[in-house]
Amino acid sequence: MTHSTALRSIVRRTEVTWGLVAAAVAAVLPLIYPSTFLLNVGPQILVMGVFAMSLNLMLGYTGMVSFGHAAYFGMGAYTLGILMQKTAVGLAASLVLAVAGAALLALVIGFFCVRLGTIYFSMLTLAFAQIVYTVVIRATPLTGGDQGLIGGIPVPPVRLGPWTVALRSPLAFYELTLSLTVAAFLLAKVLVDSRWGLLLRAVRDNGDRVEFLGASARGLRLSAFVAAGGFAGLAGALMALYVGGAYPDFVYWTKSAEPIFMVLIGGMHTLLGPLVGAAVLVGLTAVITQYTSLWGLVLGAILVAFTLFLKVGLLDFGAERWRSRAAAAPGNPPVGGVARAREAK
Amino acid sequence: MALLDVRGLSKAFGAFQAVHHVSFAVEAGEFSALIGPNGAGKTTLFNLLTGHVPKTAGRVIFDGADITHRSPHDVVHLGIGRAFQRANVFPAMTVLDNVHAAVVAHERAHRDPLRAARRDAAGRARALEVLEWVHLEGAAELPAGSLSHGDQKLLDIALALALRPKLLLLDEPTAGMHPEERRATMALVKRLWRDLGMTVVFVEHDMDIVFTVADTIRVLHHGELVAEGPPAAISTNQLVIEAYLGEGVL
Repeated sequence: MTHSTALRSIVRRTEVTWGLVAAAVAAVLPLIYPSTFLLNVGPQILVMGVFAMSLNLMLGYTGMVSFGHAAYFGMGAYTLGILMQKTAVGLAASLVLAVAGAALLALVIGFFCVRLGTIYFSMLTLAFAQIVYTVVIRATPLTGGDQGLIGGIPVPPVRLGPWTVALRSPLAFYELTLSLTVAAFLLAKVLVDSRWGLLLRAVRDNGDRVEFLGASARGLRLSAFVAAGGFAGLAGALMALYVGGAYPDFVYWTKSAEPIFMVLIGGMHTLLGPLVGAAVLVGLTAVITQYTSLWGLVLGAILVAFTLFLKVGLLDFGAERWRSRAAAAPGNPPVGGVARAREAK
Repeated sequence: MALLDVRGLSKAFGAFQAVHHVSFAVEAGEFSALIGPNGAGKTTLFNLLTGHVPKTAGRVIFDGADITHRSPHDVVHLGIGRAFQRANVFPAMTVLDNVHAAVVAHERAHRDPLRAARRDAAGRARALEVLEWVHLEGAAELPAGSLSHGDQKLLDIALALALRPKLLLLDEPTAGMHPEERRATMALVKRLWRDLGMTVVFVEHDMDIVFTVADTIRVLHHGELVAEGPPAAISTNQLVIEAYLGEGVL
């Protein structure tokens, strides 16, 4: 194993390790330091983190810029909200159906979008998301129209073995969101590290070449689109649970921009990056709004500084530093193929 | 029966006939060159054969199957591999991941999204073997984009080789290389052709190389096939000399 292979496998393992360490700290933190602020902002960070992570399956791993990712977030939110408000379907089944519904919507919309490249792809995702938004606004009997699904979502206590957990308790909800976020992160990690994930990165680098390797770049893009839609559906469903309803602004185009900012802040070459980006953006918003009503101005300035001075996301910046430090370490210069071919002759 | 049978193949871009009624047959085991001045239609012909560009007219039979209207990725699975004029690789991925991706795509192994690519020992061993063929195993963990131009061209060829092609189409495998590198690269390609038992059709502008290594030469001019035969016959073909090579080149 060469030096850099060892390093890479460390980095690879590191992401899961760091993720689990951070999750463990986050799980214990409210127990030793009960803070309303934490229990209030924590679930928002986690939910938006899953949302941003889902977008990154497309953005960072497959090279597709979606401007309409809110459609699947909203689909998850409304599916769960409607099921729990108007039917007798339980929480677990509602979560599963919310994910499935969002993935199915992504399959239908993605089928058309992946036919187009670059900016046309982006515009079409935006157009479809606005159609979904319009449907949500108009289908008042089902969605509550521009009022949203008001009246709250009844969440029955969940039985976990001998314990009965009331999810209305902020601590319980925080821990539930955290566990589902960890599960989503680990599943996404398995996916992107698989041979499927390898080909997604190949599509990102050079989609045409993938076709000449015998795989359908369009099919791979669609599969990434559907997976991203499913994870976004989970985030939306959790958000509906958190706020006790589903509202049209979940589907509005500005909601599609939020995960893009989070990915840009946190970094697009890891799964944890978008979660970090969500923590920064949601956390900062929550803190700054306590001090000034001009929070948009402050946040905007921070974003501009980020873009101008760091130029990459936080975790990408860290990984880059790590890598360049490793590259500076002495090693044998690699021998090129053409040079070797000449020697062989 | 010929491995590749091209019948009356045409491609028009508007009024421009890029490839005009081209017919030829590539025998299994051939090591042949496709030559012609810039704009003669060589790359377009490759694009037609691999299904990347829709055909205006004509048929393509490969290994007994009609592939006229098959998609590029279908054509690959039937056994036509291709390397490109400009190195066509995955720059942000490591060299090994590049070839591993080719192995995975060829085996359609990406349909198993739950097993780690790292654990695919057979696939990675296969990818490393292919890298050894082109002497790039020492660069396996480097990003492909950091390789020299010549090495990226070899990696491009390695991507095609990972697909176990029966027919390998090489579009100017030595483009942008020094004369010495060109000869070394071409010698490597010919060795691979022999060792792997492939059929190779390559486009090349260096006539010294073409007339030294090719068994058969086909000449394309203004989208038409103007000559076909062994080097000795091509070098004395009056039509070729007038149309393309010019007096005194040979």
